[in-house]
Amino acid sequence: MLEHDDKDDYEARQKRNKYILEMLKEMSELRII
Amino acid sequence: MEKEKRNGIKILFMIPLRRCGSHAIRLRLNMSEEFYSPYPLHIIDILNKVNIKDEELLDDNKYKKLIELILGLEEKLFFRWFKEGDISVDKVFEAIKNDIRNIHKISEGILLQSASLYKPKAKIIMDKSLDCINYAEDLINIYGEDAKFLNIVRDPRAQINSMNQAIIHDFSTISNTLTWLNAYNKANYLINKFPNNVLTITFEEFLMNQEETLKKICKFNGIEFKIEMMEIKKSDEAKIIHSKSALWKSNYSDPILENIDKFKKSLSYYDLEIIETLTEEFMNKYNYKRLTNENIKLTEDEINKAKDDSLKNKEKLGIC
Repeated sequence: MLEHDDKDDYEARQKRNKYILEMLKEMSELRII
Repeated sequence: MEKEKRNGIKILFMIPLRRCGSHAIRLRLNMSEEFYSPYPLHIIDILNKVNIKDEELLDDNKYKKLIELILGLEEKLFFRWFKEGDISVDKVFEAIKNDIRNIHKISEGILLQSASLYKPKAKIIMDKSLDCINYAEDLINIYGEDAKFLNIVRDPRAQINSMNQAIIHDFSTISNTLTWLNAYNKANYLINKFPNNVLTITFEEFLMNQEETLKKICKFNGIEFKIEMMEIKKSDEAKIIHSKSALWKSNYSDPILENIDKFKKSLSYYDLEIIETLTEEFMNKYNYKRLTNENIKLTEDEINKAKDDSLKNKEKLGIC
């Protein structure tokens, strides 16, 4: 699957998703979500 | 009027679905001093995961936390909006704290700050995320008649072929066709409900007549067409973006007419049948001619299997 055309974007996307999940965890603790 | 809060700067949202040629159009419009649209933040990745309780955002510290989250998305862009030190959570908060509080207002506030620093003559700011079609009603509720939409239609066969190769979508023609249909149905609803707020152009008309298409967009937005919009080689962002993905290569060249039916080389006859059957209403509406003759009947099992396979592939890649 990694042969797909935008594989260069794959790593950046993984980091971004990880960041969002971490931030959402903090927001959950603050009861924003 | 919402516009008055932004010193007369109008806000535009591009819809309805990524892989429609949106960067090509955004990068050209950005050649004007009157237009500002940086690489999008895609807040849909947050909205899809959680339900934000807007009432909690009346608490300043909680609002700042959400601003921090959105600013963090900007920091992760390969083509950043801000130079180091030009932006902070406090700066954004001070600018928007007295307005209604929600995630869209944060997104707008950050965009306005960036425009004021780097495109001070901008009359239009555009959010190119496209997935805003999924929360367009919220935008209408917030911005009222000020919310304008630029609807970029593309031949479903070409767009779905492109989607099939992109990690942001699914790796399945069936699944991507259903996504395409969902987005176009939502855009259609918007067009019917707010006809004066939506300008529809097709990517193919842009490829065939770049200048007239850009002029049409400029007129809709009340800005002047600039001949520089046709000189994409002078765009620093186009130069960078085209090297970042094989899917973005054409963004640093003049419109490539041959790309209109490039999908014929990649899609199977069965893929074409699926797309042409499911999107028939829109193919007729936008005058795309069919290549296959008969409609096919997809079973629930086939649809469910396509969704499952795509989900499994995404899980394998860690991009769910």
